[in-house]
Amino acid sequence: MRRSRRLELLRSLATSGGCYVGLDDGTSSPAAEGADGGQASDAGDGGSGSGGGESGVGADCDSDGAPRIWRLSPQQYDQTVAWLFRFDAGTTWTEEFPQDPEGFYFKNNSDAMKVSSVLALQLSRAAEDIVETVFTNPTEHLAHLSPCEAADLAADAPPAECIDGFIEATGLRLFRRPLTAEEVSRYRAIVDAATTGGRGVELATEAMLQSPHFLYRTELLTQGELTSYEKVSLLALTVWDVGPDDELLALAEQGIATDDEADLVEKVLADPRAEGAYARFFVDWLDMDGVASVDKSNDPRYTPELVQAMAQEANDYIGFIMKEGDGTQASVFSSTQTIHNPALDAIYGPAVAGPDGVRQLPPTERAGLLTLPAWLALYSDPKPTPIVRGHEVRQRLFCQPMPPIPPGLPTPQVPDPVPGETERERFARHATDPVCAGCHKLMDPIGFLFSNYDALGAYITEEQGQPIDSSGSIAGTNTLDGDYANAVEMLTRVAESDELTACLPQQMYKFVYGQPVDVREDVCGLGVSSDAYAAANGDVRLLFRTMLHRRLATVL
Amino acid sequence: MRPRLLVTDRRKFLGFLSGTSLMFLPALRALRAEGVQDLPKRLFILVQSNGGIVDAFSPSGSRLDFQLSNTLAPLEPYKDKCSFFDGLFVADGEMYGQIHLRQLHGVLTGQQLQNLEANEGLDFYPLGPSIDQVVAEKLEAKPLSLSARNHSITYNLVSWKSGNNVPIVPLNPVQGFDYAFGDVSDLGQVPAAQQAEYLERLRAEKRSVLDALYGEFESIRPQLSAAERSKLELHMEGVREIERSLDDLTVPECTLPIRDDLDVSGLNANTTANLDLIFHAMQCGLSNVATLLPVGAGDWGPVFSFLGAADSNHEMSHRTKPEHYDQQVAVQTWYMERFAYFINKLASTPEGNGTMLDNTICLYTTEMGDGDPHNVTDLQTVLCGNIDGYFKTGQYLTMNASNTGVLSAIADAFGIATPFGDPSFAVGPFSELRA
Repeated sequence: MRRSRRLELLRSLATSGGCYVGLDDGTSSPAAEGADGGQASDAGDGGSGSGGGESGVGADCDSDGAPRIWRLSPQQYDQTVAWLFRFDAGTTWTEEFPQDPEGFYFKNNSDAMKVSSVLALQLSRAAEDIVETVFTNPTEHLAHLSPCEAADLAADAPPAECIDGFIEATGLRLFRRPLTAEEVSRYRAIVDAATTGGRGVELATEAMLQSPHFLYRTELLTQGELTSYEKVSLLALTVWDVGPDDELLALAEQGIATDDEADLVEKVLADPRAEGAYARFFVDWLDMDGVASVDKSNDPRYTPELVQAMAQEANDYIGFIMKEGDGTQASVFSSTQTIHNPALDAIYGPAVAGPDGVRQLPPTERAGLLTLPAWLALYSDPKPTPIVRGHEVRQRLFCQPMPPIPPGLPTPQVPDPVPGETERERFARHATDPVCAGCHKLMDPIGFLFSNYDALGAYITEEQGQPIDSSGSIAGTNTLDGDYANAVEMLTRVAESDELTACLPQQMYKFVYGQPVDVREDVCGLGVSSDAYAAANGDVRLLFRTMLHRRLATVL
Repeated sequence: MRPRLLVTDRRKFLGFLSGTSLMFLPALRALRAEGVQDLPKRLFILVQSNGGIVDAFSPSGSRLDFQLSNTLAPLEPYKDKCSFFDGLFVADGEMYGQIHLRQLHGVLTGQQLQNLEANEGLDFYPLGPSIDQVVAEKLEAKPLSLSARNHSITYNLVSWKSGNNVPIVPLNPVQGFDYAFGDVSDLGQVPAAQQAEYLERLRAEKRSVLDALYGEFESIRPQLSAAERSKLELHMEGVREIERSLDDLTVPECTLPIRDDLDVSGLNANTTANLDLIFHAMQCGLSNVATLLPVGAGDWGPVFSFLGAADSNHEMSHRTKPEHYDQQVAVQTWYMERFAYFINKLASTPEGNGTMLDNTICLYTTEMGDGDPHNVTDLQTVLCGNIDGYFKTGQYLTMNASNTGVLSAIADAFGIATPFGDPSFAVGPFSELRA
């Protein structure tokens, strides 16, 4: 049942384009597509229902995966280099790397993370910088990688066995697997060609830092299966955001059988380095780190520290729910407990922090992640923007992409704001003009529910001297349609809704796989995770665990 | 956090680097065989985002007898070297749906846009490359694509490479410096007597690293599907570009900026730094094509606070407050001053029998007309300079046509087939522009 509803939703979002055409409620809104979904779900269930049918979408589930490469993110690059060469946490070499385009909301989309000629050049410069720093102080940075005295590595003529040992030790940790004999001799050749042995070791390190074997997570597979090294790399990079440590590499060397995978997933998740994973997922999904670079210097409360504190709060909030709380989507999207941060008193008011730094927020004013200032301030440019807030809820929480503004639409004529007029009044035409209403009725009324939050996310009850009307509504969904008094009421419902329960696994799939979901993947890979997730009342930790396990077993 | 290294520290192995600043250097280029030197051909594009205010921009008068508006006043000294346009539109603008980023994607490509499988983040791609990239390919030049800011790149893409839908992510001035000068600036700091030795050693070392990398790429490549392989091949192309720039490395007969002296203290300073480095890169023959988009469209924050603006440029362009009109005019005047600043540098630098301006065509354009209704019509467009005397200048042209007529004229001047853009609607070079 769950699956057919999910497929229905999936199909409804795939066909929701054209909502603007609909001048009435019936013909082409996502609601109509959803209601029409019986047929679609029949087709979708064909694969699983026909028991391995050849034509169904389920038929390919056992097929071998295809080799793929997935570039490390700048954070993964920095953190792996810092771990390998013992730099302080937070040392970065990637500041001048060009930003990666976002793909399907996530910054870790494997198709978007390409190496342009500009990035290739910056990778080369970063490698030079790292090598120079490391070899300036070899005792500090290289002792653990060198079979001889680290200082000897930088000498004119290091002993041959010392060079090979260093290349093998460094290569193992950068490539996340032992070097082949061919690779060792390739790096050895660099050393031999250099003016001195010491300089040669530097150049070999420079080359390893630019090798595709380091820069890409390579899932080249053996007989269609991930190798043991690929398994530990996948887990470490996905969960810890850094390459596998020596312990995982040693496990991989022993070989990781299918029966060992569950234990391995538990081990990786139990590690303190796993704590940041959930925050990375939610923050990336909802783009909440973007708030840290928002410039609102036209607001007297604004400081760069304030918006950074907002971003930090979002991380702490998720971390707290996943570590100390019940880890459910319901908590994430409706909790009123956050981690106290004095910098945010400017938004929340004077602090009333409890033990462990937990701050109880007024339950009438806040409900979950979307009432944190990080989200509210992000979608206010520079004023609260009901259209955008509604648009984001619909797209990111309900997985219902809105179509772009249609071609041929007459020039939008949103009237200039009149002093004393509210945003709600300003956008009234969106509801009355049938050309606008088809789409905007799906966005604006959700956005209006957030009227109680100002441009920095403070709770307000008056605008232009008038009490705020924060009412709104949801339309075009399966279970959430109706009127709501405010965001708190709406989010409390959304937090436990089928819409979110169906959407969140799709989003996590993108985070874990670095790819968008297609129907085949939904049935083969996501389906199992998603069903378990719904059955466990939306426990995000369980979903993550199931999906990682699934990811090891199935290469899609 | 990054332990930032001085450029002068980068190659400590040489030991003999001087810490002195630059830089009039004897050119290795002089050692090259003397040959008939054609004058270079160059393209510079400045894009103003968020549209402008049409009334404040338009000149008045007739085609050959006209007066510049106050906004255009910074170009007064170069009036006879420029053509000023009214009434251009983003080609087939209707499909662009009056959205900033899509108009940015269209204004230099003249292409239809393709929705890539509802990829919410990447939105729409143009179906073909932008004029700057095509000209760079024709000239075998390294194109610079710069911005004064680092922010959401989705709203910041105006240049598109041929072939594989790859957007060119604009670089901030520091990244731009590395890309434009990189090893050249290091070489410039080596005492003249030791440059040959330095260069020989640099090439040998880099080549041994690059050779190893090619080996690594080849060990992965055959195992990948076509789609995955294309990612790797793009990367390999970037590595080959490093190698080529190594081959071309000579000390330019020109002044280079110094990386650590770059003033990147804000939008105004960054834009000047961008323009300076574009100028130097062009003067030094390191790049012949550059595009500058100082501010992305639909921006956040009061980026023009140095002009007294308290709101974001995007909000100002919608004129939500009475003071926004004047502020938006000030913004547009600032853009024009920056454009004139660059033109002035070209015009004051002798080259051949004239100046660099005679060998550089400079396009200024907005991505939309009036920024408030997001009009695709009435782009504010100026074309200054020349290429081999191709362009007729000193005119005010009131058109009602796609801006592909301008893009096509630029393409034509560089010997590229026209019409430029989607053949279903792109037009050929405007005859009015032909000298």
